[in-house]
Amino acid sequence: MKKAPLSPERSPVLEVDGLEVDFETGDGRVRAVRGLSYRLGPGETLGVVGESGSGKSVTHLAMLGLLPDTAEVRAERLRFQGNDLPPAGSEALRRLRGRGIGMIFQDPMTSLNPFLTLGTQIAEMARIHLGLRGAALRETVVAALAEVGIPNPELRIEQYPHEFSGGMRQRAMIAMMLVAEPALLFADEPTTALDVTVQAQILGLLASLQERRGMSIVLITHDLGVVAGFAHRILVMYAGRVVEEAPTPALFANPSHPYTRGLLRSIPRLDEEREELEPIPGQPPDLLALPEGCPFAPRCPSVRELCLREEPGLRSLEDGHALACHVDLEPFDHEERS
Amino acid sequence: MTRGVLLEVAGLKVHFPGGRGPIRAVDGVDFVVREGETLGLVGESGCGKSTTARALVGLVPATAGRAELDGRSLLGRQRKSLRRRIQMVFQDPYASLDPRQTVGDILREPLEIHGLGDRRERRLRTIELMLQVGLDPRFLNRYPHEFSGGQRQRIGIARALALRPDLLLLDEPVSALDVSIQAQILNLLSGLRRELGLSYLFIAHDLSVVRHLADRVAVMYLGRIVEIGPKAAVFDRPRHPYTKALLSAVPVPDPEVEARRERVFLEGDPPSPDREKKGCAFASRCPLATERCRREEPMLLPRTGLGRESRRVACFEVVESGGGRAG
Amino acid sequence: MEGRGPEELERLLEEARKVRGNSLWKDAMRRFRRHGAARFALRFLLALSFLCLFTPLLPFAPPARVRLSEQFQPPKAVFVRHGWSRGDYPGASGLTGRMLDLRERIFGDLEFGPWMGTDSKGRCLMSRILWGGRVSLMVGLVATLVSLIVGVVYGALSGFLGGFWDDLMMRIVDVLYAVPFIFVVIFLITVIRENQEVLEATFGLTRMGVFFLVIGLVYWLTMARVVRGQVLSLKNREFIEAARVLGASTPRILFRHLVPNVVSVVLVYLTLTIPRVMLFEAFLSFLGLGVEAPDVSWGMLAADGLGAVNPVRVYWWFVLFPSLALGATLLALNFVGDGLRDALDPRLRER
Repeated sequence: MKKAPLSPERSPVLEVDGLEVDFETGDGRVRAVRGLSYRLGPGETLGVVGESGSGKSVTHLAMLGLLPDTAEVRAERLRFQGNDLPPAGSEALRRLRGRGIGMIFQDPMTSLNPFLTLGTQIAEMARIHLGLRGAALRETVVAALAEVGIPNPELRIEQYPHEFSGGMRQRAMIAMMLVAEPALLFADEPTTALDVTVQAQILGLLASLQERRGMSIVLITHDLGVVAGFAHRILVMYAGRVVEEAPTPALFANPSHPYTRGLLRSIPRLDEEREELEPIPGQPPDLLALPEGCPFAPRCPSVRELCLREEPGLRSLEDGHALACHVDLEPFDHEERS
Repeated sequence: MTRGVLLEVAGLKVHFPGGRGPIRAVDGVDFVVREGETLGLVGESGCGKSTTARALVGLVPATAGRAELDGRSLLGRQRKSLRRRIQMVFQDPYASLDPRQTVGDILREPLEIHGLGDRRERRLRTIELMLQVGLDPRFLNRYPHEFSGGQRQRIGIARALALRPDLLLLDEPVSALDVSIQAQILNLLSGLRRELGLSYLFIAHDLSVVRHLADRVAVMYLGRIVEIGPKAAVFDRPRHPYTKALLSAVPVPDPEVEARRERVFLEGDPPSPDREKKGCAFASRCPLATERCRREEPMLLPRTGLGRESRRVACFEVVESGGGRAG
Repeated sequence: MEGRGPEELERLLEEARKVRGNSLWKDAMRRFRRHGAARFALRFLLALSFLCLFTPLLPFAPPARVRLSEQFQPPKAVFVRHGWSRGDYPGASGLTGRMLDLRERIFGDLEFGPWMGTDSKGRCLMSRILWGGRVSLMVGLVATLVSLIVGVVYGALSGFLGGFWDDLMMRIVDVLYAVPFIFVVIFLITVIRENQEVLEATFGLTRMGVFFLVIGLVYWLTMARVVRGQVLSLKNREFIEAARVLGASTPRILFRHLVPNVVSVVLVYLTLTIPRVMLFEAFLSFLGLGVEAPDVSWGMLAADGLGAVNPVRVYWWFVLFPSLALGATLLALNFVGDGLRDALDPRLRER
């Protein structure tokens, strides 16, 4: 496991309070994110875990002003390195994207321009954000590709995205982001579309980059296995809100929210055999028609009457472990699973 | 032919014409699936696992080799009656159902194609199928887009079961589903297997899922099987270097396990399937590769015995050293 | 699982009957209704079609009646009680004839107009527009239908067969595309005109019928390409593969699966082809190659209009009204096409 970084309370890189995102769609108003808060320290990796509809991607796209006009973003506080994030659509935010905060996505093929060589695309980043030209520019680009482990970078910069494999493309994306030396990187399902051996390589790369550069990373994924090995802290999201937050060891040692437990009990593991998996019954929530009270209530095995009426707020348990649930569960019985 | 063997595949090859040479998607594959058994076929993209399955149901033509279901060949022109015994469940619940058909239409179609039952019997059978896969039969006249991903996958499974097949090919049946739904479908599949006495050929890239469902596992790399054996043996004591690397890369949702693991990192990317055929396909990335590995292609050994517990590996280094290097 | 007895299954079947699903059409129609312009346009088109359909019933002056005494009259609101007779409508038979008879019984001698003025031969312009609309709309519909049938069959077959046949069929289309249609059509129509009687005798093709056919055969090419493209993209979708795995025969796959999924694309393209066909007909009639007197079409009216002396300032109604009619119709069709495309497109992406 990785050594714990500085506590996020001191000089946080990112501060979010009360983030809300609504979408106006043809079918009604969708409340994709309903009050999200967290702090991220330097050199820390935060894993944001959730399924489709949890709001994990929308949250971070909203912070960077990358959502379409139909989205309405509100936040009490949104600060990067101590300064308020510029509003969406502003020139200042545009400059910050890439320079201070980088983002990589699931499918590098759609993030890379298929008509430009890789070298051109990375150079664009370096030119815009660092103002480099000529030889210095070229050196930087080659160095960036080398740093992410792409062999023969001098040759590769003349190639086009479709000439690269999936893993290489993702590395190229990372290189593109790194060139501007961001302090914070949002990685939205960066390895979901990749083979598992390539995934291991990419995660290893991100980990070593983080160590070398002291970068903070927000890793957005649905895969609990990935965050177990990579994140310092984990946020579990459901229906647009955080339902549990904890340092990684604590989250797995004692998952306290019924959803988190449900997830852990329902996924098959490589290292153990189980007769039957315990699935979470029901369907993920419909964001157009959220029920009153806790959105997880319809699927919750520990549901009480209060849960149907009132949505639980986030409350602290010990040691940085926060929970949004009315019920206090018994400590997690690991034996039950094997 | 051994008793109890339902599907026997020998030397199966599927080559596609390519620019620089044939694309050898499947390049000589041997395995069997016994009655009531689930064989998991795993590997990363481009290994040929999906193509293998497609060849077995006639969606792609096989270039060479044998594949027999109960002694009758599956390759070449398939007799319609043979199709009833082997069916397939597809990966994408959104693309595998005709959006213009109701659930009832979808489930009735196989019965109509094969002329089973009269109109009334067919309608009743569709209700029966929906119940079997856990769908509310009142939704018989609904359209696929009105269902969730998991429910659509259930429809796909029901469709595959309509003809009462003996062998079901499942091509990544849960990869496109949300995590919390995957378990529901996996449980459904194991339940159905038990109730209906089915055999499965289960294809997945997610090894954790395969571990849960399979009895035996075959690991593929670039069109060939590199290791095959009972799942506990392959997962807990892998012998082929690729299997080891593959297993070490799979994330486990347990930080302590993750911290303790030994990772085997592979260098670079897999070569493309239209490369020149010489030696072991894995040699370019293998930590144990020798000159011989680059010259000769290792066979899947030992060749004897098709028993349930048989274990075979295609590697010079491992087999020659008597499996000494393996854990 | 306990076996469910057949009675239980029957009961469930009955319950299932009561629940009807929302087909993609219903969803699409709902979306369409939200598209304001398209909705309005559709209503306009329906009203216009209705009007044109029942024109023989309406008390307006006969469009072919020449009365030089009334030439060049500007629009005026008048009720004229001139006598008209069935003889003023040469060649009107069948349904049209019966409608005229009915009109005679209801309205007698009465005729309104000329609300849009008269032309150089004293013919009521409004009446000519209405009667012309019948022809133009009819050509639009029928010719498009011809192009639809030919195009869909050709395109679906080409896309489905793939490989050599697809290449061949598409190269033929490419070659045909290169041919300048005006010349072909002029040639064909001239030839057909000369052999009119023979054709009519052997094939029973009326002059109009030939006209529809020729135009339709000009426009099938793009339809074929559109359909082929759609078939190609569908051909390898998993639900088609699933049908094959189940043992479905090729005709079944084509007609039960491919064609219904192509319909939405075809429909949109259809509504955009009709205006083009109508314009083409107008153009041909303008050249004198289309409809012949005493029949009238909007194209012919345009030709008449432009032939008049200083049509903009002096006899402005010659040009204004027919252009408005044609223009409004074409615009409406485009809006409907837009609306349909918006309605059907997102639904094709089911997620």
